[in-house]
This record gives sequence, C-alpha cells and structure tokens, in this order.
Amino acid sequence: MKFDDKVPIYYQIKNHLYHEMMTGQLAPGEKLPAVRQLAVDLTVNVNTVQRALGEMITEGIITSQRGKGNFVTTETPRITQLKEHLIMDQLERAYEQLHALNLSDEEIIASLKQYIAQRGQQDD
Amino acid sequence: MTKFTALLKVMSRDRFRLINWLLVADIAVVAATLLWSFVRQGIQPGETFGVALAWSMVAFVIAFVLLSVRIERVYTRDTYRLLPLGDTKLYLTNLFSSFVMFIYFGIIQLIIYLITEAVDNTYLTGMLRIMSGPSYTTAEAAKVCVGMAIMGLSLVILGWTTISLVHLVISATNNFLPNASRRLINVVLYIIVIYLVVRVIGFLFYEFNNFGQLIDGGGTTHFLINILGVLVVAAIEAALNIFILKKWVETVPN
Amino acid sequence: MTNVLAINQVGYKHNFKTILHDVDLTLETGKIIGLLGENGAGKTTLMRLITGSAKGSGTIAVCGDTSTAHHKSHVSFTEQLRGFAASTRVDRVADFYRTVYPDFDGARFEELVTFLQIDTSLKLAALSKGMKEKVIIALTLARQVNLYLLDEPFSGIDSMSRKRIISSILKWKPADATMVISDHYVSEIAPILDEVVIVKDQTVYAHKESDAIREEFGLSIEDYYESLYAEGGADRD
Repeated sequence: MKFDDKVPIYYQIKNHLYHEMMTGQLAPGEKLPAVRQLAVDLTVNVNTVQRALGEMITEGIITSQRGKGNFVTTETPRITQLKEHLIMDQLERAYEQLHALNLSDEEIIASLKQYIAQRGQQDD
Repeated sequence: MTKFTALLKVMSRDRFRLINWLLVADIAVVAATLLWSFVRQGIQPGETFGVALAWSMVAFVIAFVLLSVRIERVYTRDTYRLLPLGDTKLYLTNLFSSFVMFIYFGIIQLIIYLITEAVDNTYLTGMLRIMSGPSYTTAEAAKVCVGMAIMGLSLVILGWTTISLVHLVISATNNFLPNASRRLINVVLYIIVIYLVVRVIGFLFYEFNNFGQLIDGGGTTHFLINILGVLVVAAIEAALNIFILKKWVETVPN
Repeated sequence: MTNVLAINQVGYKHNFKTILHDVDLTLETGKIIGLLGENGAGKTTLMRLITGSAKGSGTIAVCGDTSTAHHKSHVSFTEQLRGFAASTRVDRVADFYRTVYPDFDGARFEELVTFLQIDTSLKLAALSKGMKEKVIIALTLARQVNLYLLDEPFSGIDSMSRKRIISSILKWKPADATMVISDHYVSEIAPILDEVVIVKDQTVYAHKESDAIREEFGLSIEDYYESLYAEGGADRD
C-alpha cells in the first residue's frame, strides 16, 4: 500500500480498513489478519497497526476476542453509521473546496450533475 | 556469553587450514629440492635430513608470522570484537589458539625430522661420533632438545605479545592523537621495537652458546630462570595488551 | 524495564576532533527507530559507541547494564564481515555465527535465507553489494536480542531488495525488541518508523514520534528532516 507520508500512518491504516469494510472485502463478523501479518502486508510498523486497531476497537467497528484475534463487528447499524460518516467526510471536503471557488450551492449541484452525466457518457 | 571452546574452535579452524597449507608447501619444497639434487648429482648421504631441516627453519618463521597476523587481525575486527565475552577471554583465547597451532606445526615438523633422519641414520650417527668427541648420553641429548623447544616456545609467546603491544599502542594512539604526534609515536615505537629485537637476538646467541651448560647440572637452574624471565615479561605485556584493548582499541569502521 | 537503551552525556573525539558531544538518548522496548543525519554526521559512530566498538566518554546502558561486555549479548549490529577472508563461503560465515552466538537461531536464519533469496554456497568475494547486505541482515536478525542496530542497510541497494529487507524486518523483529535503522534517505522507510532520532551538530538534535511529526507539523518525515537541516544551515558559517 502507498502511503501519504504527510498524514499520520495509523490514520491511513484506519481508512484503508474502513474502505475494505465498505467495499465488502472485509465482511461483518470476518476475522482480520493478525497484527504482524497486517503490518507486513501494508509495510508498516506493528505498533502503528496496533494503534489503528485500538482506535477502531474503541469506535466499536471491530471487536477484539481474547486469544482469537480481531473481528469486524456484526452490528450492521455500526457499519451503516460508519459508511454515512465516511460519505459525509468526503462530501464535506469536496463541498468546502468548491465553496472556496465562490460557487453557490445551486452551482455546485448543477456542476455535480453535469459531471456525473459526462462521466456516464465516457464510460459507455 | 560465548564459550571458550566455541571461540577456540572458530579461531583455530581457520589457522589449522593455514598451517596445513604451509606444511603441504614445506613438504613440496623439500621434495622439489631433493628431486633437483637427485637429477643433478644424486642425493648425498645426510642431504635428505639437511634439506628438511633447512626448509623447516624457513617454515617456522613463516608459521610464526602468519599466526601473528591472524592474532592481530582479531583486535580490530567487529567480527571478533562484537562477540559477547570479555576482552581478557578474547585476548587469551586468541593467543592460545595460535600457540596450539604452532605446537601442531612443530609436532608435524618433528615427525618430518624423524622420517628424514631415519633415511640418513647411518650417516648421521657416524658424523655425530666424529664430531662430538666425548659423546653425549641419550638422556643429555634429550635434555638439550627439550630445553631448546621450551625456550623456543617461550620466545614465540614473547614475540607475539610484543608484536601485539606495538600494534595495540599504535592503534590506540591513532584514535586520539592528531596526525603529527601519531607519526612521532610511530617513529618512537619503531626505535623501541628495533632495540628489543636486537636485545632478543643477543640474548638468543648468548643462550645458544651456553647450551653446553645445560649438560653440566649447574647450568640448568640458570637456564630455567631465563625461561621464567621470558615468560614473566610476556605475561606483563599480555596484561598491558588486555588493558589497552579494553580501554582504547577500536575496530575498523564500516 | 521498559528502556532498552539509555545514553547519558556521551561524547566522542577522534584525533582531537569532536564527532559527538552531550548525547542523551533513551529508547523504549519494541520500537523501530530511524536514525537520520547527513553522511558523516555521526550515526555510525553512535552505533559503534553502543556496541563498544568505539570508545567514548559518558555512560551507555543497554537493558540497564552499563558494562560493555554485557552490552554485546544484548545487541546485534550489522557488522561488515571484515573478520572473514574473501574466499569464505556464506554458509561458513553462518557456521561461525552459530558457534559463537548462543542467541543465534539457526531455523530463523534458514527462513531469512529463503525469504531474502540468498545463495549460501557463494563466497563473500562473489557477492554483489545488495546480496552482501542481505546476508548481513539475515545474520543480524537471526540473533535473538533486545536491540538491533542496522547501519545504513539500504545504501547502494536496488528497490526490490530494499522492499524485501523491509519486509524481513517487519516479519522477524521480535515484538519486544527495539531496532535502530540509520539512513540518510528517509522516504522509503518512513512508514515503518515509530520514532525518528536526528543527529546534527555533533549531537542528538531531535527525537520525535513519526506520527506526531505528521500530526503536529503536517509534514512528511523527509520534509521535517530537511527543514531541520535548512534551519541549521542558516546559523552556521
């Protein structure tokens, strides 16, 4: 995995795992790879993985079972909540940046619609 | 911590191979010399032993120098200095390993002497009878031989501790003195070493001239005191070496 | 005992020239630490002081022990195999290590050899720079110790080998051991570092957590490191 070295690594690990959960690569109730394995796969430090997982456990996204490992939570509302949170996060960033270009809300909606339409054509 | 036996094993393995190469080379050179004589005028009585003895002297010097190089290399290499053991143990094992290999070399040389002597036996005993006048008894001859061997080995140890002392002092001063004073120190050391070499050679001549004394009972004590003296000086040098090694000697950087 | 290394007021001079002075540094167990600094800044010297290969002033405690002879059993350093003849085969070198280091794990070494794709029948003289570095890494990591010191393990190495070495570090570093990796080229190893120690002006100039640098300054480790050198350049003559 490629990291942005300006952003804390634990934060990027969390985002990477969130992404896998959203896209279904990690299903609810599924066991996560062992900490060291994750570290090797992502080429990051074990302690950093530990920190990311620790925060995710606090958030309730994953559960830790003593001696068995870490599992994605089976509480689907939690995951839905997380998904909403991530969507809001992305929207917020895009909105702020467009807003900074002096676009009004209507203009933002219009350009977004236009953009989606254009993309649809390109995909065909 | 590294065990003494483990350290001795790794240090000696390499030196054992080295000595074996030297022995092979020695035997090859002796054989070649004899072959050359054989082709030219045929081998004379006593020549087999004479050639073996002459080349063995050269081989002894080479063995001493090669083993000395192995000893010195240990002190400035991380490969050895990083081993988990004290410098005293490292120093003594290092010296001991070379010493054992030197004795091994000596024993093989002795066997070569015995074999070549057997070839020339009749001639040599005849020659000895003419030379020696009032002849030595076998016991007396053995005493002289053993005495010479012990003195030789003591001097080998002293030689190695002296070489180490010079090397370690140079290596220690190199670390903290500026270049100009370093050169001065080196010059002073060379003078000291040359002086020591001259003294030791003088001592050797004196000893060999007095080997006769060994035969009359009175000289034995004197001879033993000399050996003891050599060993005491070697021990003092060894203690100094260990101290310098511990305090100041650094390894060659990466 | 949570500190694997405690360096107190350490200094080092060579030929009357100060290489390091007033070095204070404490490292916790279980960390991977980047030791950064320009060439000749004193990174290697600092490592050599810790192993006892260089003799300086001040005190250095490894696992609470200040005697150099004891340090050596706690520390595994990437030594350059200068004690071996060039004709020595790699498996002979491994035999040497196995014999003299009670903490050398033969099985681990075999795993590392396989993972790093080392041909142990080669002679030292026949090894490329990258291959030699891999051999050294395998030997260093095969020992089970508290402190690993890797001195510029990536210099002159192609990026594939570099990735393999980094993976082997992550795979085989014991959880409670600390590893110090010195480098003057940061970006490739930045993601695996818990902390960075920056050597500058003949001393330890900064010691920070990597993610704290990213969080506090919004800078990459490399940018942060370069910024320190830039500010230092101004007040130097």
